[in-house]
Parts: sequence; C-alpha cells; structure tokens
Amino acid sequence: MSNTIFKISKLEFKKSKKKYSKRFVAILVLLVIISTFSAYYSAISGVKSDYMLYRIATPYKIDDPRYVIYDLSYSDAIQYLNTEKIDVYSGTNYVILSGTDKSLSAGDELRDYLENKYKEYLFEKYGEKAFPVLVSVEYLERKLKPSFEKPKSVGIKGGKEIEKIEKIEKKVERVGSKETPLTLPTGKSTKFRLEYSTPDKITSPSLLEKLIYSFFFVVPSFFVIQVFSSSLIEDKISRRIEVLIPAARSYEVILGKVFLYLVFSLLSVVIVSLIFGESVICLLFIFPIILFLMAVQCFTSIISRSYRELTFLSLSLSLLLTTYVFIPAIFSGTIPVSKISPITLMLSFFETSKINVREYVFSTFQFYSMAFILFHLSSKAMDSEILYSKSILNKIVLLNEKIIKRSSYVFAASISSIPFVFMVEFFLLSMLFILPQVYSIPILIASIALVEETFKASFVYAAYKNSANLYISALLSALGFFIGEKIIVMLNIATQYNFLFLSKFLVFPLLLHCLTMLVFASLLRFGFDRALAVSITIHYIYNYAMVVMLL
Amino acid sequence: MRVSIVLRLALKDLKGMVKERTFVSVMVLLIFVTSFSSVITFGILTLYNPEYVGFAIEKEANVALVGNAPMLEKIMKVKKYDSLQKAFRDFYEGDIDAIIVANESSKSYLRVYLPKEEIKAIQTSLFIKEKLVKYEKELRRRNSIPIFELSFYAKGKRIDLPQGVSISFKFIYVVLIPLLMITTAVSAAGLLIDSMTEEIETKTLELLKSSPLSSTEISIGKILASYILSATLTPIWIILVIANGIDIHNVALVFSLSLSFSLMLISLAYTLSVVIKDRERSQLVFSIVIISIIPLLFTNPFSPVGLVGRIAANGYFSLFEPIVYLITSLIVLLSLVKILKI
Repeated sequence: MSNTIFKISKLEFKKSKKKYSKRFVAILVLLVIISTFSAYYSAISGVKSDYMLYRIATPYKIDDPRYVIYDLSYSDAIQYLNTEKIDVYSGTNYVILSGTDKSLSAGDELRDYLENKYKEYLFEKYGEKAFPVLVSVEYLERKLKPSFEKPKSVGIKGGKEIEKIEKIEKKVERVGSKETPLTLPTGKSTKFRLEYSTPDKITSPSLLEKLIYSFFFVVPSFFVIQVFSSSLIEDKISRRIEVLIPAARSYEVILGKVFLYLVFSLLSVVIVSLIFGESVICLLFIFPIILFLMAVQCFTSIISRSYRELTFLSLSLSLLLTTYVFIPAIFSGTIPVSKISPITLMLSFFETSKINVREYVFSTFQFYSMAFILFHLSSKAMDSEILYSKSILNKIVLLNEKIIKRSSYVFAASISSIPFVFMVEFFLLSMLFILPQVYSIPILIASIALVEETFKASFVYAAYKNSANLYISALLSALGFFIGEKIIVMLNIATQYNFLFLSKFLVFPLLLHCLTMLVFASLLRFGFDRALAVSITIHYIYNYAMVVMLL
Repeated sequence: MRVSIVLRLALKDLKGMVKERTFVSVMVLLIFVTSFSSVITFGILTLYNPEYVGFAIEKEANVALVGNAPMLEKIMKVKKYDSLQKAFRDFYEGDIDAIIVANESSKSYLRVYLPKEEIKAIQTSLFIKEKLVKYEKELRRRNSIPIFELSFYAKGKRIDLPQGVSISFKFIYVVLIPLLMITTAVSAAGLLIDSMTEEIETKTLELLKSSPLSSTEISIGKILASYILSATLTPIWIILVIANGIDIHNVALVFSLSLSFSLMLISLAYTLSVVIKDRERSQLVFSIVIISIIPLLFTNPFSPVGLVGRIAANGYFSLFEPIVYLITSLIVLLSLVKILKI
C-alpha cells in the first residue's frame, strides 16, 4: 500500500517538476521574499489608510495626520459644524462635535491625542511625580463549578495552588524594587519597571499582535494547498484521474497526492519557525490545521465542476475556515471557547513552552476527525458517476447513497457529522449574536434545528434509497447524533455556551432526536422536503420551549 | 471591434457562472465578510469597551485589598485582608473577583490579580480601571499637579462621549469597506484567470481563434465578463453595508473607485494568464502578488484602500483622485490587451 502511495507521490512530483522550471521556481522564491519584506514593512510602518479621515477646525496646532485642519474663526467653524463640512472644533479644554458618528469617532481619537500630549507635558514638567499610580496586572486561572448562579466553591486544588500563591507572595515582596525600565505613555523610558503601567493602560488580555504573528506560520501552507487543489482538479478535468483509479485504490491516489504537498507544507512551517527562532514543536499545532485545510480543498476539488467553481468555493471556504481557526484566538485568555483553536494553544506555547495534553486533544480532535472524514469522502467520490455528475448537491446525494448502504452505517455517519455540525453552529452563534436578543435567539434556534435535522435526515434518506429499514435507520441516526453531542459535552468543548445547544440535558435530547427522525421517516412518502420541514418545526418548538424555560 | 460579438462572448462566461451557481458562493462570501466583520468589531469592543456595546460595567465588583491604601478605599469599596494568602483563598473559592495589593505613598505601586479566562475578568478589569484612573487623579490633585479635563458638546448640549467609540467607526471605514472592495476585485480577477486558462488548457481557445473573432476581441470579451461581475457585486456590497445601518457617502465615487481597483487586479490577472498560460501557476503567482500588495495598500493613505475609506466616510479627498485611478487603470488594461496577445 505505502509503495503505491509513494509511487503516486513520485508521479505528482515529476508532473510538478515539468511545470515548475528552475526559472519559475526562482521567480516564486523572489516573490515570496518580496512578500515577506512587504509584510515586514507594513508591520513597522503601521496602518496609514486612516489619514485625512477627519476634518477639524482649531486655533491650536494638531500634528496628527488623521486630521485635516481648517483655519476658521469660531463663528465660521460653528456654521461648518452645522452643515457637517467639518467634524470637530477644538477649543481650550472643550471640543464641539457635529453630532455624526464620524464626529464622535474624531472626538474620541482627539481625546486620546490630547491626553497623550498632556502626559508628555506632565512628564517634562513634573517627571515621575506626575504618575503617582503604577499598576501591574496578573491573570490567574481558577476552576469554579460552572453555574448560572453564584459560583460554588470547589476549593483550592492541592498543593499546586498554594505553591503558586507562595511564589506570587515572594514576587509581591519585590514590588517597589526598581528593576526593569517602564515605557510611559509618552513613549519615553524611565528608570522603573516594565510590568507597571498607568491605570488607563489596563486592558483585557488579548493576543491580537501575536495572532498576526501566528499567521506567518500558516500562510505559506495556503499556497502549497492551492497548488495541491489546482493539480487535483486539473487531473480531474483532463480525466488523468480515471487512468489512475484502476491502477490504485482511490484512497491511495488521494494519499499519494496529499503526501507530497503535506511534506512541503510542513517544511514551510519548519522554515518559518527557524526564521522566527521558535521551537519546531509548533508543528504539532499547525499540523492538524494544514491537514484539515488540505482535506477541505481535496473534497472541494473533487466535487467542483470547473476551475471557476473551484476558485470561488475555495476562496469562500478558505476565508470561512481561516476565520474559524484564527478568530477564537483573539479572545485568548478571556473566554474558554477560544481554546477550540489550536492557534490559541500555540500562542500560549510560545509564551510558556508548555503543552497541556488535555487541551491539545480537545482543540485538535475536531480538526483531525474532520480531515479524516473529508479524505474518506473524497476517496469515495473518486467514481466517474460522482466525479462528472451535474451539480454539487447531486454529487453529495450520490456520495451519501454510495457510503450509507445499511442502517448501521447511518449511526456512524450521524456520529461523524458532529464536528461539522459544531462548526456550522459556531458560525451561526457568532454571526447571529450581534442581533437584538428578541431576534437572535429564535433565529439561532431555527438555524440550529435546520442544520441538525438536515444532517440527520440526509443519512436516513440515503439508507432508505439503499432499501435499508427506514425506522431503524431513523432511530440509529438519532442515537448517533445524541452520542456525538454527549462526546462534545464530555470534552467540555462548549463549556459555558453549551446551554445554547441544549445538549447538557441527558434524556430529553435523545427523545427529541428520536421523535423528529421517526416523524421524518413516516412522512418521507410525502417527499423529502416536506418531511424535513416537519421535523425541523418539531425540533424548533422543543428548543424554543427549553430556552424559554431556562431564561 | 464588433461590440455585439464581444458582448456575446462575455455573456457566455457569465451564463456559465450563473449555471454553476458560482455567483451564489461569491454572494455568500460578501455576506460573510460583512457579517463577520461586525462580529470582530463587536468582539473587540466587548473586550475593550463593553459599556459601549451595551454590557454595562458592573457598578460593584468584589475586590480584595491587601495592604494600606486609605485614599483608594474612599474611591472603591473593598474587602480588606491582612494577608495575601487569605485573599487568594477567597479568590479561588470565587468569593472575590480581584485582589489589589497596595501600599499607598506619594507613588503607589499596585499589583492586581484577576481571574483568567472568565468573562467576569473583563468586567472586573474595566471596573478596576475606572476606579484606578479616579485614584490617580486624586493623587495628582493632592500633589498639586494640573488635571486634564475635556468637555464635549454636540447640537448645543454637553455630551458624555464614550471611550472607544472610534473603534467601530474606523473598523468599518478603514477595514471593512476596503476589504469588500478587495474581495470583489479578487473575485473578478480570479474569474478572468480561470476563464482564460480554461480556454487555453482545454484547447477551446484554438476554436475561438479560428472563428472571425480577433485576439483583442476575445481578450476584451473575457475581461468584460469579469468587469460585469465586479460591477454587479459592488452595488450588492454597498447595499449590504447600507442595510447594516452604515452610512456610505459619495456612493457613485465609491462605486467608481471599486471598479477601478477591480480593473487593476484584472490587468494583473490578464498579464499572468497570457504569460503563464496555465491555471495552477497563474493562480499561485496571483495569490502571492496579492498577499504582498494588500498590506502595502493599508500603509499608504493615497492608495485605493485609503481613498475608498475617506470617500465613503466623507473624509478629505479630491475628486481628482478617483478620476486618476479610473483613467490610469483603463489605460493600463487596454495597453496590456494591445501588447499581450492571447
């Protein structure tokens, strides 16, 4: 088996060698170097696209490029403000705004600018005396029992915590010693310590800058994956893949192609980590992400009908998945859900050089499992009937029918769909929570019902098409889904948020899943859409009633 | 040039997109960018200024004080502890939300302990920040240091201007709107690479060439399809943004600049597909070039990215700027079509 895989990898390499001449590779390397310099230049230069955004009238000097200064008398300035020709008038200790959102923003930024000027002035005139309060903030992890009411004690856990306290106490004894330099808001260094800042600088922990830094570890792989998907669709369109299928098993073809690009991707991560002087262990965190992205692109290439379709599907999916991987890390250290992303753990690893095995398993499991499932689906889709069928939906239906041949397979399919369902629901939750609660909760509940019922019903439908027992399939679909949900709860993935998915109640969800699937099975003779609509409605009513009772 | 034939060729490509529902995925992409940007703005605001997004800062938080700070006690209600160990015990029990270690003098060094990975930490840190800023002010007053007070007025009334109100405004005009313009242009350019290289790779270009169509007409037909896509997507994202309650000023100029930017990327896509001739390598080079260009665009206030934000927000700009971009992009594209034959 491994021989065939290596042979296919070799073939792929030969094919690429033909395309990528030495000259072309040299151009690519040059472009990558330019790209790196461009990123570096942009990082040190900062965002300047907000220059000249605001219009201000003031008799004072404002040396901030975000403001375009108008030399106007007070009465003219008021007239200009009323007609919104300028946003702000700045006088002595007062600011007049035109009242638009832009003027509020201009006022807010002007306040920061003036406060900084004030601090510079204070520092020049009074020195350190002008900053009488210096604060150092430390965040400590504590384990409280999750509850909707007052937190219940679980006590101090053994010696570890006590040890931590003692260490901190020792640190506290050193408070006041003048060790490391502090950068004041004025940008000027003084003699005291780095950890301390003025109170207005206290911010919630956020790793936004480090998040951008972590981007460098993944971006090169995006290009490798792009080449991989292009090569795959080219083989499909030119029907080269049909020549390979009889010679090797479909999963060997997939693995052979994946292997080569996976090696290149991982190599790029190693190079980036060496450039930045980080440990190569960061591969552990990036590997599941790369594997998952490759699996997605592999599946997309196989189900796309043309280059055009692939381009737009992969553009949309790449953006969605990059968001899914990176956005939770913005909230590192503030909310537990941030740990669903391996990037959060990688950032923490860069700081502490420690890996928590439980957290690693919990954040990477979904990526590994989804990658495995997608590669499996891709290999099953390597069939002329599916490869060259009409629409994507048609291909997915055919694929389902090809895989789910017996009732027992419905159970496996249902349980395997959980990571995908979780991801879709995570997006729904993120996108809908900005709406007012009156709308967001009903829409979210309806969307969750739609997603879950569609997944479950499609498996039952595929089994039914293969003449499997409809009612047993329906019950197994419900059971598989229920067990999958419980695994999520056991892994504590959703922690504080799982009440929204109503998965923490043990028996009721099982009854619900069974009921909706049995209803679907019994109404299937009236058509898939109608049966699905009824099961979604039942799911919606149940979820809504539960949320109303809970809130 | 025979306009009707060129148009027919462009429509053929567009029909293919509609048939494959590729258009739907581009729409989903734009909707996603618009809605998820709001999520990111909301997330950042929640972290830095929850009061502004509607999460009122808690009026009280259970704060422990270890040490001696009488003035701080006047400003903030605290529970006093004689040892840090006892304070930590209550902190880990969940009875208190934060610990402040302080010994008040002419210069106070405060150590604050907050819970990690709890939403409560955000609320408590903001509560403590507010109180400590007051504390700093009081100590300055005691040390006879002038205090900085700034009053804001709008529509003849004094107003309370929330901190961080600029975050969401700038995110919309400095990030979101440019990002939508870039997404549209990248989609249009990507379509051009695909349709050009598909014709080359599947050898249908030879058939087209053997028809009465000239190379220039074929190129313009393909480019027109991408341009029409961009001209259709731009008003869609403008409407999506306006529907989200965001003001877009000078809509016609925003539209024109977005199309000019699409033309620039279309020029790049055209050059790459004619020179490289296969999809895989053309798309790869295109992606690397775009990744290099995008950050640079944000570092230059006169770039289309800076300009579109200023125009949409009604900032300072000259009418001359978008016109120059439109004319230049058209000239560059037409020259390329003339020089590089498909």
